[in-house]
Amino acid sequence: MNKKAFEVSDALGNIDDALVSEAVRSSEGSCTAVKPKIRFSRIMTAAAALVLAAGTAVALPFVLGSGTRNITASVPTGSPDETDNGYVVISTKAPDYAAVTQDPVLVTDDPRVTQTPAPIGGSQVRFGSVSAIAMAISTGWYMDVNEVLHDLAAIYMPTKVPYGAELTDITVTLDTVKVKYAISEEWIHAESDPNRFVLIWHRTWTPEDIDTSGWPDGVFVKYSGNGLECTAKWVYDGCVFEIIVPGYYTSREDIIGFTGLVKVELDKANEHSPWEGFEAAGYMWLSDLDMGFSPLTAPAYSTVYHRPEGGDGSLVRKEGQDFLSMIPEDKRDVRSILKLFPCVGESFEPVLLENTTIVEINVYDVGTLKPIVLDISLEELREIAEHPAEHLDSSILELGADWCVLVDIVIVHNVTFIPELEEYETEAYHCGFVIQCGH
Amino acid sequence: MTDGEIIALLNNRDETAVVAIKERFGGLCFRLASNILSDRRDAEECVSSVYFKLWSGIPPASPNDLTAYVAKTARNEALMRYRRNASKRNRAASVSLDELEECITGGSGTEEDLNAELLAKAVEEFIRVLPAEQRGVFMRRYWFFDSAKAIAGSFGLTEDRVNALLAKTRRQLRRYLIKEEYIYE
Repeated sequence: MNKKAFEVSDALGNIDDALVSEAVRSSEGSCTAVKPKIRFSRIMTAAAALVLAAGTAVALPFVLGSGTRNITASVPTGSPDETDNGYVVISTKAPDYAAVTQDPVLVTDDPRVTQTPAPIGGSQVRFGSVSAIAMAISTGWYMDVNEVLHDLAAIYMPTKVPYGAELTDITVTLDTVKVKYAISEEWIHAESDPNRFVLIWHRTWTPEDIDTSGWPDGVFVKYSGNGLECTAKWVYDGCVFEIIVPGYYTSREDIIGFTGLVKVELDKANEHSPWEGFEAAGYMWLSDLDMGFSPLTAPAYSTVYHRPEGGDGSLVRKEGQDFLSMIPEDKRDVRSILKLFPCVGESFEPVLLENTTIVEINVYDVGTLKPIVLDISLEELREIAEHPAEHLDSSILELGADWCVLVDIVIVHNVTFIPELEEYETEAYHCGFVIQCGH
Repeated sequence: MTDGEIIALLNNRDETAVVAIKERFGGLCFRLASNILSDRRDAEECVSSVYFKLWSGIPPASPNDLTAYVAKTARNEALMRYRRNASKRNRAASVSLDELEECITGGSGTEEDLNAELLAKAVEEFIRVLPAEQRGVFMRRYWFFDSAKAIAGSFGLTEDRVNALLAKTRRQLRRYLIKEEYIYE
């Protein structure tokens, strides 16, 4: 596009208001009405994760949306009687968007939140794992969300919400969520919908940030429109990648956010495969990424996960911690831990995790949302993955039938610590799972 | 709700202003955005940003003509997104811009940056003196990026007539810009 055209267009953009208004009037009636609706852009579904992780599909009672400005923008502020279109929005977007549409709750660990207070409304709750919270709420297993969120709010809100917005009440049942916040005294009512799922990604991603140059040719994505049928198969760097368990979609062909299981095989037809002699077939779990994960960009990440060079392949273990020691004795259930990993099973090839760092596996007790932080080495992961039966047999404690955990796995590369924020900035992928034990 | 009432809500930091803006101008904003951007979702995101810009911009801004202010905000936001990412461009908008480009290219002296402010003034003067129908058609095409078909429907014209009128106007604009020495033959 020649910039001259933009110059003229810009010039047109600055013309007198009266001329613009005249043109608007001439076109009145041709404007398309915008119906309020919830849009699920870049919301990842947890369905596949649940099936894979928990072994049993668990229907989430309703959707909490996040990860997109649009959902916040299109959510109407409802009254208690508005049951058709009111949703609670757990937004991880920057607070400005939440503010625009009066998000009742803004749960985020977006570092910008600390720097950019919400101009209006919106209770901000900062927590290490948004997805875990959101999923907790969305599952309805989080029966005493009032207490937990109030606790969190008490910790974080005084400095994060300068405009007096205060979360005053959240009630969660298996069917509904009601949120009340003081600034508007309005209620949002979320209807249950077992056909919808959500996994909340925790960082802001703007598609514009993605450099689309250099994406491989031959990638295709099919989107069926129901949000659950995303297929893609591509060849890159000597490997064939195929999404076999699509977890998520987006309808755009240029930007795809998804979580799903990707089958990876060597591209045997590629004579120049750098993986010659390397048994790299297997599966890997891919989830939404900070930078906008996409089947199109997946090869870049896959490369990170596959390449043997650049490290010994081991995972980071935090100083002084070892596997299982971080789990309270009454929560030590290897079966549960196994279920943290979606690909656990006979076909699991832990080699696919080489050069990937699992920095945290956060397990949250549903009842208290107390996090349990695990650090696991590759060897330990491999051991569990390759010999699940042994570990199952060594289950330390059988948990009650209704015990559930929320699991949030943060897998990271390119970690940069930001002292000012006391946070790590990462390029990461992030898997959230709800584990239902004992059923 | 009148413009004044909406602006008063914005000045009072009343969140219902956003709702009012959405009700009153949502269609306009979305139409502009979707005319320029290729994907409905992009357009929706754009409109969301417009709402926020309006919320952030008023005050301090105090527009006399809220409709124009909103429309300009939406157009600028959509065009900004259009420029950023080629994959988001609505092909029809690209065609429209290509047509517009005809007015200022092909001659010498067009390589240097045009003075945006002066050019805006010149274009405005040019448009202002056009016959009403011709002006409307031109604005709808190059300001709103409407299709010839949509324009034809609004003005009770045939598409051929709209296209002919647009071509004529572009020629006139080019001659005008040459005459005013914004571009040279």
